[in-house]
Amino acid sequence: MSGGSHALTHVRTMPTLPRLILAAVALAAGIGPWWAAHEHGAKSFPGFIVQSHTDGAPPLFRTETINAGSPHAKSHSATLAELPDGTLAAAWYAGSGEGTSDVAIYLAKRSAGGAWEQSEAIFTRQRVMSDLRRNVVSLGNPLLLADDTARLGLLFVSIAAGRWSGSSINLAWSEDNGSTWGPARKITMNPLANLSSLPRNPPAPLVGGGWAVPVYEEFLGKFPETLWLQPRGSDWSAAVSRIEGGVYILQSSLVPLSERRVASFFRDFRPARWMSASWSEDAGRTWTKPVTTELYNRDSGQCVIRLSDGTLLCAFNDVSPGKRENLRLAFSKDEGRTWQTVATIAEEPGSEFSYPYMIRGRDGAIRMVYSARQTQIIFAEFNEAWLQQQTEVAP
Amino acid sequence: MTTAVAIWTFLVPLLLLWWIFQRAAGLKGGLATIVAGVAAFGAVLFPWFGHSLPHWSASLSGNFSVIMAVLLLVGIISRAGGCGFFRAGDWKAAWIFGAVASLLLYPSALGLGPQNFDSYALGWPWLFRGQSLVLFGGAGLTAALLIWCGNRFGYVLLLALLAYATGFQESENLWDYLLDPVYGAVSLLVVLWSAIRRVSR
Repeated sequence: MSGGSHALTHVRTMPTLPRLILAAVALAAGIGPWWAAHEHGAKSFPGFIVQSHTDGAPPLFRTETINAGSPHAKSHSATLAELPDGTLAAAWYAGSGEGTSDVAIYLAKRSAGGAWEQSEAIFTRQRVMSDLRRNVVSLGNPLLLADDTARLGLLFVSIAAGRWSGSSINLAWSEDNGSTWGPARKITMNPLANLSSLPRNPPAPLVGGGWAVPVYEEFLGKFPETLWLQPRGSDWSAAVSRIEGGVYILQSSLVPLSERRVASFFRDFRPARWMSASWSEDAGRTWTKPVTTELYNRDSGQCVIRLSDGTLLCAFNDVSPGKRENLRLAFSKDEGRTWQTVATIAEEPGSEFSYPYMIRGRDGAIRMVYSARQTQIIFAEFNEAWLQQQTEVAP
Repeated sequence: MTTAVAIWTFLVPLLLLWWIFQRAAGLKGGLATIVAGVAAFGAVLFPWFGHSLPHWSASLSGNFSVIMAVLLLVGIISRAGGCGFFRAGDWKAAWIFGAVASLLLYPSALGLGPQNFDSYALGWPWLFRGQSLVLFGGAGLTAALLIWCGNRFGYVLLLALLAYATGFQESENLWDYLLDPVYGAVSLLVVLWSAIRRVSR
């Protein structure tokens, strides 16, 4: 390559007509793909599907260890999805340690009313290296995508070098509800070597198909974004929009309040120790400036879902001598501005309960997975009647 | 990774090393270029920490810009004594484009600037419909104006836009066809150096 200081314009050597035609082609080459994407592509901020069913059943609460007897020193960052027949699928990463080469993505299923089956490694580092034809140091942060078909999606992180800042997000599909998986492919999320992107918290289903997935960047900045995944023929389109820039919040929990209105709650690692929140009135296109809520958050993952009457339910780590010695539930009746702690899911001094992940089943019940001491993946199942019972006894 | 991406992630590091070897050795002429090319080919295939350079570069990023690849090719051919496709004004347009595009893209991608604005999102044509026309239309208009003015960087820009229409890269974002961190950094350095020289005259 070379340089110079001459003027941009040169003596025109090409005749006018060919130059005019080429200039027109260039203009068409710019606008053409933009136009075509609107004609045949995914939709711009199509709106959210809001779940509002309830089970009407008597109070229910129970917990179960999904990976009992696991040989792994580390099992963490669990995700949960309900398949069309009511079967539950849970996935998490496990291995000898965070970021180690033996970490794999594990999947376990539980048929409706049945017990959790033995988990299986669905993506190992070797498998992902083969699929991507790239270097992979370790895996992490799986996130399941389920709809009304037998198709099950999986987002997960592969680390190319170093630790989490060297991660990027991959997408794989199963056409048989998670029994077998197609090849993983990398999703391009940012222009800076496509590194430091991670998914976290449940995806919000979109009108017309697809999901809005909470993701975050932690390269130089640390900030939350939304990954928009929408069907495009036999393939999928992926794009990312920013919720807030900066260096202080991440791991958003996306909660559709109506088709166009959506709230987002963030893990916040500023000294103030309060969960922060932001709201959008245009289906996630623009967001209010994040504000701190009155719910405690000491730089730990939380999860918020909407109940049938519009009340928001948050699973979070409350104040404790250690960092994550309890896992509690809180209600908000005003779309997340104020909160009331109503129940404790787990609490033990010196222990750790983290990364809660909640979904609402088609039967209205609430299902949660979380990690205990980052070794056990715990499944908790409860319903709105039980939550109401807890509210009545809460101080 | 598709075969097209695999070829691309092999080709661009090869061109980059070829150009570096050619420049570093101060070589000019056809034979010297062939020697530099053979050396670059060997270096690209050599396993560094267990993997080849294309494997490492693909692991970290598979999205090299079309513009950078073409500029490298033009640079290598020019130095080999081949056709001087690019003149001084064409290079100048390439550096200005790269520098301006870098300033528009990278600070915002790092989370700086307006807090909830990410110019990278405009590279997906369907997400922010109206705003993305600024990027797509702007790139097309820039290419059209450069071609009309007889500036040959316009053809390179046109090539990048046509490549985007084929979708051969892993990325679905137009920015990744126009710009990458290497081209952006070199452009910024060249423009900055030119500005310093102009001021110090």
